[in-house]
Amino acid sequence: MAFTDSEPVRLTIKDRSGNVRNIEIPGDAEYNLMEVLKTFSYKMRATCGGMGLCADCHCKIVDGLDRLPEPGWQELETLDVIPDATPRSRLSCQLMPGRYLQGISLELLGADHY
Amino acid sequence: MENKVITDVCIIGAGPVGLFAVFEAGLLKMRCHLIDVLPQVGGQLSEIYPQKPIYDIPGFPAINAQELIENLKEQIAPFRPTFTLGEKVEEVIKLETGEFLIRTSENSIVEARVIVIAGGLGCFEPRKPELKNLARFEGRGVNYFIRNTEIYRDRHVVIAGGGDSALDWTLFLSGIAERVTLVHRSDSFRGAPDSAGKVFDLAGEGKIDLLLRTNVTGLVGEDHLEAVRLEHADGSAGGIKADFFIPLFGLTPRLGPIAEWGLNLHHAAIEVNTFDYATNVPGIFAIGDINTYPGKLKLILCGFHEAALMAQSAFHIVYPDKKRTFKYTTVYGVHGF
Ligand SMILES: Cc1cc2nc3c(=O)[nH]c(=O)nc-3n(C[C@H](O)[C@H](O)[C@H](O)COP(=O)(O)OP(=O)(O)OC[C@H]3O[C@@H](n4cnc5c(N)ncnc54)[C@H](O)[C@@H]3O)c2cc1C
Ligand code: FES
Repeated sequence: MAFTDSEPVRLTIKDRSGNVRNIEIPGDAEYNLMEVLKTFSYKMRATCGGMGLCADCHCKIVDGLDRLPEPGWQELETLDVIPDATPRSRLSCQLMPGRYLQGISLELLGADHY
Repeated sequence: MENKVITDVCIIGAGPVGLFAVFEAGLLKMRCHLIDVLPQVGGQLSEIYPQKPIYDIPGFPAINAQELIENLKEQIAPFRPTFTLGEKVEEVIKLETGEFLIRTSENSIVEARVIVIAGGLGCFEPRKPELKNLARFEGRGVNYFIRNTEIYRDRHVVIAGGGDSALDWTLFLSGIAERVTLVHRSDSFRGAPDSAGKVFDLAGEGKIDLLLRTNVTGLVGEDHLEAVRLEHADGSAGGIKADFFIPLFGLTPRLGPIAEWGLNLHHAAIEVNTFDYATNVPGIFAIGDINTYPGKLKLILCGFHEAALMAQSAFHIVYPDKKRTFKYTTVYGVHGF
């Protein structure tokens, strides 16, 4: 069956307390994944507001990393200077919803105190 | 020796809002002293996004963040503010006289009639790597800031990080330390290409050790750091001698000591009223990103407005017997000290 961008995309999210939940987000959401997660009541301090500068939205992609678009220069630069980044790290504010997120499983790591 | 400053208004936080508060206070003849944990003024603008354009400062269709800070410095210069930079405000004590005593991490003391907290999202603090013994070795070999470079002379120094400051300090300390090792998780540097080139050159000449695709995984020592454990991307592990370990992973704001000053807080922000941005402690105001009230927006322009209203009430505390009428700067100009 052909996939249309408005079809819901299912994600598995592990929050900072270890709770795991499956969520469905619209495939054509106009906001980045950090903003989308906020609408699901995940806490995001997001100091830089989504510019890829603060790493508050840092997450670990547990499943589906190879399907994601390559990180841009700003994302790589920020990930390069934070202590807890691993090869599975991404900044959720730099990911736009799309079909490549289908079935992705991720773990939130960045600052949430807000 | 104790360093003591006496002033009318002590402003905690020298971001854009703290800086503009000097102007509004100055128009009402109140002198200000500012304290910030960062070595420079400008708060988030200078620390996080100095070169980004801002589009919602009234009267400036676009202005670079650092340029806005330079303009603010120029605007407040006539009021001759004084500064304590690179020190964190730890303690705020209300004296019997009604004045406040403010103490910093370096034991500087400020006495003021009014405190204005313009602390933004909190104190900028170093991001720390997750290492088991880290706290035990802080100040005993683990340093997050490089202040006195002489302590590294003829010692073995391990720096971790991939940003500009890791590169720059590696270059600087290579001329002082017995041996500098730079440990970086990936195999390239995205910061200043100049510094990165020099670091690769020094490593090529054997003057420093550059360990790429490597992480520091442990700290070893008794009373003082003696070595760090390493893990390489290929899974192999090892260790190197280290008198000092300097993790340089940038800064991130944390509320910090502000939480302990008896102020009403809501989600890491200080509750204020919208009449004059006073907190629940008389004589302490909170303006800018650090405060919260119904409808609050964390915008520079909102912080500027809050500074103006705060100053009106602060005036009555600093000059309880004086009457004051509202004046335009166009009419009376700006009379500095
Ligand atoms: C990437 C990015 C883009 C942004 N874009 C915009 C925009 O386009 N428009 C806009 O209006 N806003 C924007 N903002 C928000 C704006 O930067 C903030 O609203 C503004 O910085 C708030 O100023 P402030 O003076 O209240 O606090 P800050 O700039 O956060 O400064 C507070 C200072 O207080 C210091 N401090 C805190 N506690 C202590 C203590 N105990 N002791 C010593 N020092 C202390 C901190 O170290 C800090 O330097 C942006 C922010 C970011 C990160
Ligand atoms: S929100 Fe700041 S990096 Fe994503």
